[in-house]
Amino acid sequence: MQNLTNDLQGQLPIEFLIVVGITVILLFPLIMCLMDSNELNQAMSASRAGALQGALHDGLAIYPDDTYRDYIIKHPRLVNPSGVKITKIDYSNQGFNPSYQKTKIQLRVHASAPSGIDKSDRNCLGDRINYYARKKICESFRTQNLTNSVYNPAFSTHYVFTTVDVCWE
Amino acid sequence: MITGSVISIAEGRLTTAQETAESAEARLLSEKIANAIEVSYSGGEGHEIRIEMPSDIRGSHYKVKVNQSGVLVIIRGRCGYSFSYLKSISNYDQDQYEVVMFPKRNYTIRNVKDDHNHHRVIIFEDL
Repeated sequence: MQNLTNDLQGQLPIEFLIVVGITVILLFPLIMCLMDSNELNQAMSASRAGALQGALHDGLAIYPDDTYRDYIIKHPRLVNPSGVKITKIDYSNQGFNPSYQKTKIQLRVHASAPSGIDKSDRNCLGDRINYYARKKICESFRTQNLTNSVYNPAFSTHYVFTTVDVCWE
Repeated sequence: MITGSVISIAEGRLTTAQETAESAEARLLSEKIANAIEVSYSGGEGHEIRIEMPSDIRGSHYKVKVNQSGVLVIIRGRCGYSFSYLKSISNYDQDQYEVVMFPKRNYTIRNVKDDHNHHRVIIFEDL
């Protein structure tokens, strides 16, 4: 009869190996799924921070030099401060885009502005909000080198982001 | 992975907060000067207000230009403008109609009458 106290050859029970194997098989796709969700979550958070920044620039009416010169002639109303607020940001998944080899996400920012601002001025305000939303996504994923000067489209690792005109409420 | 994304988001938010604070202070400064000019102009001859310019705005260099239609503040390539009602603005010698105000200096904004008996706001540095 074998002396159990001297059994140092250490065999793992088959049940334990089966449990570990199944756990690994289940965890792998779960981790992949979580990584994708986390990436989208990070991108949405970055776009929100960017849209907020754009709205604050619009609200405080502090613009880059060339934009200021343009506005003082074409959109003098925008040189004054105004109350621009971001109310909501949503997105639609437009599926896999073969051109970019990434999943395409379209962002839509909802914002509110004073009623005295006309459509042309609102377009300018909205363009700035969208610009900063895309810019922040690129900065968050360090993909500035993959896109153009207006960050359109913005890239993350597995997604490509575009924006539509801001929906004014 | 999650920590990395949280750090990235937090970093973005901090940058946004810093830029916003800077823009807000620049806007406040230009509005303060524009308001001082309005108050001085409406106060009649001899009314004067002293303004102390901050040494920087959140560590950034800035410049302020005042002309007859408003106050322009320039900071790190960005501009903010505060309108004021049209009025004559000049320096102490009344030979320049755009006055540049520099950081860390004190200025006096005074309502005077010129040779044609018109009201004018002059801006000059306190020595």
